[in-house]
Amino acid sequence: MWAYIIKRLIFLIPILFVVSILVFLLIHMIPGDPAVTMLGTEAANPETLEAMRKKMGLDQPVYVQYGIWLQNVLTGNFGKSISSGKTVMDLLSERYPFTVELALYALILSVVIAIPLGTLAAITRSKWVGFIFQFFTLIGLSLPTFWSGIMFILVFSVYLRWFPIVNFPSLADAPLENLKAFFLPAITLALPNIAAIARVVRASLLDVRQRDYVKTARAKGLAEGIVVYKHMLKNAMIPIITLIGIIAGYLMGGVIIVEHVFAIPGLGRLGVESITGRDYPLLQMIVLFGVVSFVFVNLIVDVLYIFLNPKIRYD
Amino acid sequence: MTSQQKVVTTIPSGGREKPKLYQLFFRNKKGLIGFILLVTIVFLAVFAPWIAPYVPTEMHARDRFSAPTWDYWLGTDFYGRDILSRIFYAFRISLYIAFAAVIFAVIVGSTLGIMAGYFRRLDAWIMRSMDVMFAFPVLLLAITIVVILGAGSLSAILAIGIVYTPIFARVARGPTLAVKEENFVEAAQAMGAGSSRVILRHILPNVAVPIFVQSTVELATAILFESALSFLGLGSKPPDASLGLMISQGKDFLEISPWATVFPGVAIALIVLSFNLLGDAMQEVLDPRLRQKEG
Repeated sequence: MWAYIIKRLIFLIPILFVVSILVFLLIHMIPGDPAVTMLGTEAANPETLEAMRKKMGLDQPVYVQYGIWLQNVLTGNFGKSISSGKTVMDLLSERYPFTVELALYALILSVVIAIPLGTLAAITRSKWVGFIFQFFTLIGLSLPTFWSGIMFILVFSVYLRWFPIVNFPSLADAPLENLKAFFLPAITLALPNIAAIARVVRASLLDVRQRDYVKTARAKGLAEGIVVYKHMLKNAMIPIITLIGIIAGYLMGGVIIVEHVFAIPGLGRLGVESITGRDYPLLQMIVLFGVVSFVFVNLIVDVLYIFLNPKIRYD
Repeated sequence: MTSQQKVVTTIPSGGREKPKLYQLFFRNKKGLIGFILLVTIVFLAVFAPWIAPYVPTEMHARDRFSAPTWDYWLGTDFYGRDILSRIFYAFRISLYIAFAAVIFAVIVGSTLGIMAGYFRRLDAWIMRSMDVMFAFPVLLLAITIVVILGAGSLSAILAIGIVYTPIFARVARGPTLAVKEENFVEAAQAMGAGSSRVILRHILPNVAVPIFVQSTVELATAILFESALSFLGLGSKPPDASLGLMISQGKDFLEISPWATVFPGVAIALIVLSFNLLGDAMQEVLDPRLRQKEG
């Protein structure tokens, strides 16, 4: 297991290296002169502009610029945000906890809601329950996240006034209020994932239902609950875990939308702000940070996967 | 789920002719509903100029924020524009961008996937670069591409197309590897068939079905993707009617006129639902194991 983790970590190095080149080049390709953006109206003076370009290293060839940038990033010097004047490092560490919390909250809600739902749909003999399950999971997969978020705000915040809008205390300051404030955004982000996971839970339970060991368990006279939990669910877990792993990654994209809709001061919203404000040094680090987090989430998922499933050994 | 039971019972145990795939498909309830829904939406989109009651950009200053009435079936927005007409026109943009993006990804992705599967030397290079693309969260990559190219329909197509390319490369590579080892391919090669002939005659037909099923699934997500981009202001430009944009403009007046936000969202959900129904039906029909399991 440790050998596998170390091997994966070593494999990460070339991927992260290529990713860093791509992120650098992508942001480099955005039209417009960063020195002009930095100077604003002062850019009218050609001498000031030239001095700024020199100061920012823009007169150097691209590969030299990349080298300087990479060195800065690796030593923790992420540069300064143009629009706010704060260092990018400060902004990231200020905003990142909100994003991580939202994604984890949504992931937990998805799993906790989807597994019982899918199980119920698999073991029921009622045609109606089956039909309602199919109907709602298909709808859940078809709703745009930003729209369901707005609908939740309309119903639960505007009409019913159950949840506050635009007030997100940090988890450390006020844990209960924080969990309440984050509930609507988290359930919004979870909605399509609940549908996706519940469908896979149902399908893989139906798959193991016919297996001999399940029939044997029933024939032994075990209680239905034990058969479902011990013999069916545990064996149906592999495809479910695979999907949960994929979803953990997709949540990283979903947070951009949900943070935007609910005005949560997280990394995703900061990213959208940096686009509208043409704050490219900030955008660059957010993209890099997002990709690196995503790569590590995938690694964690793969490791959990072998941990939970002793049948698989990556050698 | 009764539909699947019917499907199973119609599979002949002997004697009667085996039903064709498309017959099975239309006997599947999800397939039939999805098909009717999609045809309706495509019809509304194509004939929007003749069907829509108003010009989508026409502003009715006296009827701003009108609730749904006989004149305006789904109400009007902040500028007094008819929401129903705007939805019909927005269907065009959504379908156009989603189809163009998926076609782009299918062509580029399956070409790369087939080449990776067929030519040993290219395999590592192509698939490793696809892995690097998979390292990016999809929405983040798409947003970055749109920022580089500048917001607009064409950028949205390219962004979604590029992001989906590795998916199709993976889907195409698997069957290529499998078919390449088959006897009939070796026989064709022994008879002097060149690579291009083998790929066109033997590999392509085997890759086509999984690619087709995957495209249906990805069309659903591409519609959601496009609406998300235009919601963030990175898709089609105003005053064009785009569903994501309509929702983002409507949300500022949520309390005065909820319908300006509600109905475009329902419209997006209906297109996505139609593709999801079709995708489900295809998987059920093509996978006999699923056919029985669903019963």
